[in-house]
This record gives sequence, structure tokens and C-alpha cells, in this order.
Amino acid sequence: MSHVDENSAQKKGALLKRGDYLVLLACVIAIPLLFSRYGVVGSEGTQARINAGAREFALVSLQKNQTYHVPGPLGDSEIEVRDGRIRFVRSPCAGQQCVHSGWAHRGGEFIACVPNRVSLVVLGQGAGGTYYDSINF
Amino acid sequence: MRSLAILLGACVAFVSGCSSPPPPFKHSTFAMGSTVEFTIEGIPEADARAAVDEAIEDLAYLDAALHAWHPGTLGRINSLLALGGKFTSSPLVLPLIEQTTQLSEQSGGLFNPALGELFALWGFESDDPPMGPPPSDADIARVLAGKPQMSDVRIHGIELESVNPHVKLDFGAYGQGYAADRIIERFKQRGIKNAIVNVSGDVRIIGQHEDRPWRIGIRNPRGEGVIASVLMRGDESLVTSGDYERYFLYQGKRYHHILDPRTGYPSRGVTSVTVIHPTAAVADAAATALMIAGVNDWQEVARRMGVKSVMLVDDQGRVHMNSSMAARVKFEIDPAPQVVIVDTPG
Amino acid sequence: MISIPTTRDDHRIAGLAALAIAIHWLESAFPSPLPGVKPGLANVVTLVVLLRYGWSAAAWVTILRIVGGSVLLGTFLSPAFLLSCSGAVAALAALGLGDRWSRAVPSWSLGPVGLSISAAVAHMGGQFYAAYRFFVPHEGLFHLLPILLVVAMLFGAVSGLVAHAVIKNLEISSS
Repeated sequence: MSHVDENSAQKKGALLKRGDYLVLLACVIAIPLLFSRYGVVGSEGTQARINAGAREFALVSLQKNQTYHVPGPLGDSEIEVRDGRIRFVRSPCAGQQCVHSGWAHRGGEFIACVPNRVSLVVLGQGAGGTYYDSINF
Repeated sequence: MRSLAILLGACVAFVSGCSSPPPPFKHSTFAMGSTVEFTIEGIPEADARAAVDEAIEDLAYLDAALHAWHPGTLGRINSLLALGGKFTSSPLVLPLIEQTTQLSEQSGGLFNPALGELFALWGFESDDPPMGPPPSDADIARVLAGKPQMSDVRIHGIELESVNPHVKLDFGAYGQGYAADRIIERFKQRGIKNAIVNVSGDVRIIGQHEDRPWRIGIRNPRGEGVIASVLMRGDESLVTSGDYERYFLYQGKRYHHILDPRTGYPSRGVTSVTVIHPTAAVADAAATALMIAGVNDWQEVARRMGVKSVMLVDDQGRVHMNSSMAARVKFEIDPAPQVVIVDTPG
Repeated sequence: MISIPTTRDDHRIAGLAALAIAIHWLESAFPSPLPGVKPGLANVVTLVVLLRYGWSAAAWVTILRIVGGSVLLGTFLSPAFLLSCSGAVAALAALGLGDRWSRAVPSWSLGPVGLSISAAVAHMGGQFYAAYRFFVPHEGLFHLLPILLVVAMLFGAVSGLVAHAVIKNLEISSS
């Protein structure tokens, strides 16, 4: 292809005009910015990790409605997953703080039953996909 | 067409390259009578794990040392304080006594770790929360009549002495804040730049999360989940004290663990207090004192304790805060609560 | 019987709008991979009209397509119609800007692909804004934004390529 051909192609029948390259360039710049701005922040949780003591008891999906019985020193803590949320339904502890904490659904939300040594944390999507990095309670 | 394909390919590569930084290392465990959570970012996982292992050892040591009535460093100090006379103290506890004495004074005695006997009477310090009934008025009056104060404890070099036999030290949640501060110091020495240590809800952070600040959620004192979030960066702490942390219900009445030294009974009118401060230990002492101070006096106490950012939730669900806190809080409940912003002039 | 005098342009616009409605209708018969995401091949017609007959003709074709298409699909004045309107207004604005740009700076003028991508992104942006503003004012919606816009860019590029091919064929057949 000669130089002259290319030039004339640029003017009339070419697939991409010079302005089109500007648009494509804008896209290339915009995409990563969009993902870094909106892609990972504030995600709804997709999974939760249930810990018994310092050990992981289970990694559960919040998409699957199910009830889990997690053994602890005082007995079983009952944890329920429903419609993308998770909570303590029953606990053998005296304080019942875990049950009163209600539902957790956002990445990083955390509920613990200290006496029974059972805790759960909601995990967001992807790397760093937690809305809360820690919970002050 | 080929150039288009190359451009689109470049987009995809750029995006996938940008959106997968290494995830932060997280570990949670039970220590100091509560949950402890570590988050470390920006160093290899093996190094983070080693730092956490060391921190867990430190916590076990601090827990044994600072427990008010288990046999241990503080337990021994308490039995010797009750005897009167000078004795040699463990150097570990001296800085805590010095700082809590100062904080207690600044708070006008609302934060009073010398009242270990009162805390023991209510039983909130035990691992199993009490079920009630609350202690009798006579017992409470007897303990308060001893008037134990931090200023009764005298430090002579490395020796301690109490001029009041009723002093029994119990650092309570202040010890958890202190532990969070200590762990962060150790992390810094290891070259860790970005981390969160959360000891029983006392949060101390350093650095940030990738290119954004850490986002910390504050638990809703009534109702579910999180009431608000705060973005944090650099080196600071966020501590919340609330009446929901430890309490019991007796004959329909709620008795929680933050005791007013003036009455001997749980404080009233405020359900939770959140404080932002450079160190978690001071933030914790301030949160306790401000909870007791209540909606009318909190500004004055906060000023004396040198605490700048404060948020209170009262028993009507209203939020009281100063403007430096209001600038940082983002409510996460819908509808947002009623907010009262108050600033002390000057 | 009343008869309104019509021009040749009116017939042409009506014909093209009918074509766009037909494409729109065909597309809606296929299941969509993501809610709110359609390839938008009907935009090819808008694009061809814009490049051959100018912006106001393109605007007319779009308006007729949206109103006519929604009546045909039974979504007239429904939420879907409002979304589609917001998208169309944004897309027409983008096309108008692109058209003026090409006139103002002919050496950097936009071709079908550039115009189509701009219009598709604007369309998605307009729809997204309307959805957020009127239907789902939830922060979580923003997580969808990057992926929706990327899909819009890709589909915009495809529509642009098709429009380019159509214009080439029209030029050959008309010369």
C-alpha cells in the first residue's frame, strides 16, 4: 500500500476516520477509570466466611438459602442465609448480641458471638471488594 | 479493522491489569475476651502472617498481664495495692497507670479505672455476662463510699503505692485500645505501611487501602447492621462504646456495662459514643467518659480530654456530633437519623 | 377523507422509521444477556440517516421509532418507554455534537464508528441516569455502570461497522 493510497483512503472510504481514533482513545482512557471508580467500591457481598474459634468453619454463598449449624464451646450457633443476606438465628450464648445484630449483607460486615467463639464476615466480589474494611462495634 | 481490534485488546488488558491488585491479608481470632481482626496490605502474605502470629502472642501476653482479677501482673498489683505500702511494679503496667491517671483526671473522674470493685460487683468483667439481678443499693453505696481514685495510686520510680485500700485497677476496654495501639507500633517496626487492627471494635488504622482510604463501619446501636461509615487514612483510631456490647435484662430493664462512677449504676441517655483520635487507648477512655457525660456535658469533657471528633447516639435515636465528626461521617441507614450538630465556641 | 400533503422527505423518513421499528422489534424478540442491554442495531438506521440526510432527519426517525416501537411492543408510556426516551435524547445530543464537530474540524471528522460509539455511550448514560434517578436510587447500581458502558462501546462499534458497510453499499448502488 503506497502513501498516496493511504491518504485518499483516509478521506473517503476508510473504515476509521481520524476523529474515530479520538473516540476510541477516549474509551481506552475511560474504561479503567470507570472500573476503578465504580467497579469495586460498595459491593454487595457474595459470600460469607464463618469462623469457629480461630479456624474457618465454612465459606458459604449468599446466593444459596440455607441454614448452618456451627459448633462452639457452648453448643451450636445457627446461622441462616436468605436472599443474599446472612444472620445468626439462634445462639447458645447468654447475651444474644449476635442474634440482635440482625442481617449482614455488605462486603466487610461482621457479626460475632464471642462467648461461643463463632463469627462471620461478608466477603465482597473480587479483590478488595469489601465495602467496609472493618467494623467498629 | 485491525487497529480497532488492537485498541479493544489494549482496553481489555488495561482493565484486567488494573482491577486485580493483591488482596489484603485478613485474619481474625478470639483474644482479650473478644474478637480481634487484623488486616494487612502491601507486603507478601508470608510476612503478613508472621506479623499476625507475633501480634497474637503479644495479645495473649497483654491479656494475661492486664486481666483485673485473674492471677497475673495486674492481679498481683491489685492484691498488693490493697495491702498498702510500696512494692515494685512490672514496668509494663506503669505507662498504663500514668496515662489512665491523666485521662481520669481530665474526664473529671467519669473514666475511673480505680473502680475495679464496682465493675466486679456488677460482674460485667467476667467472660459470661451476668443474668441479673443487679447488685443491691447498699452494696453499691458501700463500694462508692471507698472513693477509689486514680490519684490514690502513687508512682515512685518503679515502685507503686496506694493511699486508698479500696483501689482496684481494671482497665477494661481501655486495655483493648491499648493493645490495638501496641500491635500497630509493632507493625510499623516491621515496615508495614497499611493495616487495620480491630480489637473488640477498637479500630486503629495506618495507611490506606490501595488508592482509597480505609472505610470503617460503625455498628447501629439500635437495629441492624451499620449506622454510618467513616473514611480513614494515615494513622488514627475509631472507637465506639455502646450499651449493646455487654448488658443484661432484668425484669424488663436493661443494665449495660458502662457504669457511672457518680451513681454506681449504668449510664443513661446515650446508647453509643464514637470517637476519632490518634490512639485507640485514649479514644476508648474518652468514649467511655463521654457516654457517661451524656448529651449535655459531652463537649466540655471532650475538650478537656483533647478529643476533637465525637458522635453520640441518644436513646431517642438522635445523633449528636461536632462539625469535625460530621465532616467525616456518612450515614448508611435509610432514612438518615435526625442529627444535631453542636460546636463549642472557640 | 382528509389528506395532508406530504413531501418526498416525509415518505423517506417514514420508510426509514418503519425499518428501524422492524429491527427494534426483531431485536426485542431475542433474549438479552444483561437486563437493559440490547445490541441496538436499529441505531444503524439512525446513523445512516444522519450521515446521508442530516441530524434533523435522524432525530425524526428516532422519535418515530421510539413512539412507534413502544406502541407496537405495548410499552408506550411505561417505565421502559421513559428509559428508552432518556437514552434516545442523550444519543441524539451526542450525534448532534459529533456532527457539529465534524463540520467544525473536518480534518478530525468522525466516521460512522466514532459517531456510533459516542451515541451508544450517551444512550447508555442517559438510560442509566433515568434508571438511577427515577427507579432504583441505590448506590449499588453504580457497580453495573462500568460493564454497561463497556458493552455499549462494543455494541456501538459493531453498529458503526454495519452502518459503514450499509453506506458503502448505498453509495455503490446510487452511483
